[in-house]
Amino acid sequence: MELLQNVAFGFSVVLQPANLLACFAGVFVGTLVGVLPGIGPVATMSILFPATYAMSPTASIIMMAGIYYGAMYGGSTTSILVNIPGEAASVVTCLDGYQMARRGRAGPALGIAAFGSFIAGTLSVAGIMLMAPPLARIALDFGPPEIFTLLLLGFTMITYLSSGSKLKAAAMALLGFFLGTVGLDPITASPRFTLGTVTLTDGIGLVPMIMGLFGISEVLLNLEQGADHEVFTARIAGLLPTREDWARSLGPIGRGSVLGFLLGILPGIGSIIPTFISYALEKRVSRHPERFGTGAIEGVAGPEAANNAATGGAMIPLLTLGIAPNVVMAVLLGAFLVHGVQPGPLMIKEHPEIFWGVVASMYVGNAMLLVLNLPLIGLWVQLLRVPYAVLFPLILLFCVIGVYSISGNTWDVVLMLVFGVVGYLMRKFGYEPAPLVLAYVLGRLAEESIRQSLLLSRGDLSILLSRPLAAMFLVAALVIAIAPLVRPALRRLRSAS
Amino acid sequence: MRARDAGAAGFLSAFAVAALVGARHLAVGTMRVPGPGFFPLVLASALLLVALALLVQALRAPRPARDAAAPVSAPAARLRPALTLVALVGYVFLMEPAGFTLATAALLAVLFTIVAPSRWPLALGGSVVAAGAVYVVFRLWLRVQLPAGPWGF
Repeated sequence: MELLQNVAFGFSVVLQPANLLACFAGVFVGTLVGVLPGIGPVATMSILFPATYAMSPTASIIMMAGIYYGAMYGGSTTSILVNIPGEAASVVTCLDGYQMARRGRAGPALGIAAFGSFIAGTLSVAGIMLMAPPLARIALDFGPPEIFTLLLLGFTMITYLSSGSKLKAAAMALLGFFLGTVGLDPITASPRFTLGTVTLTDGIGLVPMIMGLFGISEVLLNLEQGADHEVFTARIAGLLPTREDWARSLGPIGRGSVLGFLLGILPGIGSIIPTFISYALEKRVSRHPERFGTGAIEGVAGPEAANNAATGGAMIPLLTLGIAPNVVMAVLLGAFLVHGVQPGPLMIKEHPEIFWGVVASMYVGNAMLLVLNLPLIGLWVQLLRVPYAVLFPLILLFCVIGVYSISGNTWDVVLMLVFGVVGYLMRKFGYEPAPLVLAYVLGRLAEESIRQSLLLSRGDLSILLSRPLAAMFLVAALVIAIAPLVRPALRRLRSAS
Repeated sequence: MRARDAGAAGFLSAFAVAALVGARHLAVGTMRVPGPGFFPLVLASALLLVALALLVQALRAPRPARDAAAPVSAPAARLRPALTLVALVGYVFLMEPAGFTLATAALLAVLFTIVAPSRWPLALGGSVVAAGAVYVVFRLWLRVQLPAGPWGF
């Protein structure tokens, strides 16, 4: 009963005109950047970050969240029509989505992606409503040792799940942690690594770092490799999937939703990994796995549901623990903090309008996306025909405006360009920027919690093992850290025997 | 040996050493009362270990016959990111003395022509229109703080 009351309260918040407008703006812009390759939700949220200063905390978080799940919708359009992912989480959709388009079934592919995303988004919102309040109550018992070990678990998972070299991912996470120590010490307030400058006293800005590593570096790489592409030009008709399409898609959508939501909760997963797992799962359970890769609608429905459900799952650790499980959530965490709201176990009690308003907005936003996406497909197709030579200067310009407008300091723009070059080189040398940014954002919390733990225990590290939850997180982190070392040894042993 | 990987790992190792030296200058404190240098010291040490492991890995790896996985881009294509960066650095330092709109029009004109040099008249016209539109949207509508310059725009 209390849940229903809270949900009704959430809807009363989101249906206020300003919040409704913010929700619309978020999902519209999100879809737009999702459609456009080369600019993702992280860069867009950063660009629009300063524009939210004048908005209420609720409206700005609603808009930011809308950009995230809107981008998941938009990304599929580019995957299906152009065979390149508009957004990283839509890579898998290219496999069967584009094949469907080539066979004259672009309409049903786009349709099932939109419906699947809507169903998954709705289910994940229900999941948040049911799971977040009890988890927040558990999180109230979290002290510094639990927080530190949970963060440690998150970082080992980021490293373990990285697509490239684990060692390189570990190096990036450590570098991110280290960059997070630049600025004033959180406990004694003495300056560290500021090089005697005032600009670095507040630490390295998150927005210049993200815009550089993700926005600028992406453009520089695209310029080198050439990013113009052929848009699938055949007429798109019949967006509504047939009865047979539905029969084949409902199972994948259901499984993708549950999988995406549960995986999205875990730190370090993001929304890309669930799509790959969903695709593999659908191929395995299918009676005709040979059809995958040739235009099987299940290969679109499952992953598209999974990436949308993961966005909902990722909100849980942010809203209940104040911990960002992926880079997009890190930007959202920044938006909360700018507005003086500390996400965490107390947020549901202290700011119910934000918590329930944002959760309800995700439902409203998903409905808007469904209404918006199907009729606007034509517009998105036109947008995809804009040549990159026109697009990239504007993307760069928006990055500069986004960074400059926060502080009015040109050195922040210079910092962004430095990170742009660093990000460009990192990608060329096979280093991923995501572990660096995530470690940077959570580094301060990790440092505070380990130092507080040591103060509490008078320097005794066994405090991390003497509390059950902390011990559980620590053991899980150790198992994940050791796994890549043990597995080859086991394989060698097995082949020897 | 893989020279590219070894170079990157070498750079990371050098960064870690510099970080270690920097952290040593801060008060490290004790396990009971960790100081401001405690966490950076631990991190820099761990980073050095990982960077050295990467270096060893790169040095022990067999040299690739010709890195087939990495496509070699044409010299003109490789020049584009460098030119873009130069234009952006120039723009950053031009923004405040020249004002946002003028500097932006100049930046856009340069960037538009980097990819399609033959269509410069179109680039020039397009950059002026785009700079004006961006000013209207960001400065007048969204009220974003932008450098005014001597002309006030």
